[in-house]
Amino acid sequence: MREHSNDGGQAGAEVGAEAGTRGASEVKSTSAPDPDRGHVLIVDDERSARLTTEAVLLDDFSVSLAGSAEEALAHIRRSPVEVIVTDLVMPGMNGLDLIVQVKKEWHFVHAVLVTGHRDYLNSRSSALDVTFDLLLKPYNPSELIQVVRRGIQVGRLTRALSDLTRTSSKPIREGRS
Amino acid sequence: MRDDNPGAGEPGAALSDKTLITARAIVAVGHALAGPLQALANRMFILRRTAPQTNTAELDAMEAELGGVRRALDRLATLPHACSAPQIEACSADAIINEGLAELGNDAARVDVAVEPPPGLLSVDKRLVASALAELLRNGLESAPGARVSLRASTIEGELHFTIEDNGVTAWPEPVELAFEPLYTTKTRSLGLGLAIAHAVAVAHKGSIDVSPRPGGTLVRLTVASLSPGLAAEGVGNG
Repeated sequence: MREHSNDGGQAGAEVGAEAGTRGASEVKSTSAPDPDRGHVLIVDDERSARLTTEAVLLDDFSVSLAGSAEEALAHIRRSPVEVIVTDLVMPGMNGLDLIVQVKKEWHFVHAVLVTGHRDYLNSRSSALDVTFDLLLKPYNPSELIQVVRRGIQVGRLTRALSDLTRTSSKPIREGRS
Repeated sequence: MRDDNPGAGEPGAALSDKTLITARAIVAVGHALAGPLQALANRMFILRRTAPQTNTAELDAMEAELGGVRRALDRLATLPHACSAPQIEACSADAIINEGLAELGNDAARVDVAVEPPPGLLSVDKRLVASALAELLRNGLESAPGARVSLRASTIEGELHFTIEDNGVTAWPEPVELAFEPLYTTKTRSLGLGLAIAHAVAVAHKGSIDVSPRPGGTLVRLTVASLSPGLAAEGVGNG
């Protein structure tokens, strides 16, 4: 499969991961973040899953990749994203705990959890006070695009509303300079 | 419940080890298949987008097959779902029946629904109960070529009662409760999970299931109790 990339010919230059294998990888931004397109971070420990998901999203969004939850958190601290699409089961921190952490630090980031573990979510997700979209594998890729697009729109509207509320609550200064 | 086989279908009955092990196996197999199937779905999507004029009919057929796999995985996942904590929500009996009939697709036309939708809302796992109902209806519809099934429903003291009666011929085991065990089947193309799912859903809802073979068909009664959210948190263990 062709690896989609806008990184000047360095497509697929993930260190320490062979195609189709699990394992650590450096975070890779596959396209320069474009404010209009929306910035999505895909988090999956399986490289082939990252790359095929990237290929699904790359026509519509700016995409970055991370091979673990820890890498994802480091990436978001350096480069803000609007949506994370994360697998559930990964070595180290799992996808659900990653979402909790992300929502705690970056309230406006929308989260999409993808998993084949149906029963795990039945027992855990309802106990968590976080909101996220859930896609059960194998989901329709068109559905992922729709969910991500809606997440970006909702995040931007929520952020704009929050900014407006904060601005309108500031005390009005008397007089003019 | 037959007098000579107490226990398996009674309220409060526990799930067998075989049911719990089968549920875990389904989870493991489902998870092992999910990743490769998702990669396949992604690659088909990319192929369609990059070469939209190429092999459209083949891609359509492959996506239809993948949809069938998706539905099969969802159906199988009902058993482990029923073995873990039910997700309680307020819903009407009417909504449950409609969802159960929808799972049957075109076969729902062979179900004679003689239901006065019981009034009020129930606290149950709607998806689980609808799936259990669908499994029992499907079982009746498969009891003979062109078999018809009648469905009745009522609520009594917070319990939802379904009565499903078919006019087919089913070779039930002796004792009949053996059919509640996963992988038990007398059919050539069946995994033998339908009644196991219905039984697990009944247990999860502190209800019961009762199968009564009779001349000219089989009558099945499924009872589920309306659970409060507090009861839901207790569940039946995390199988």
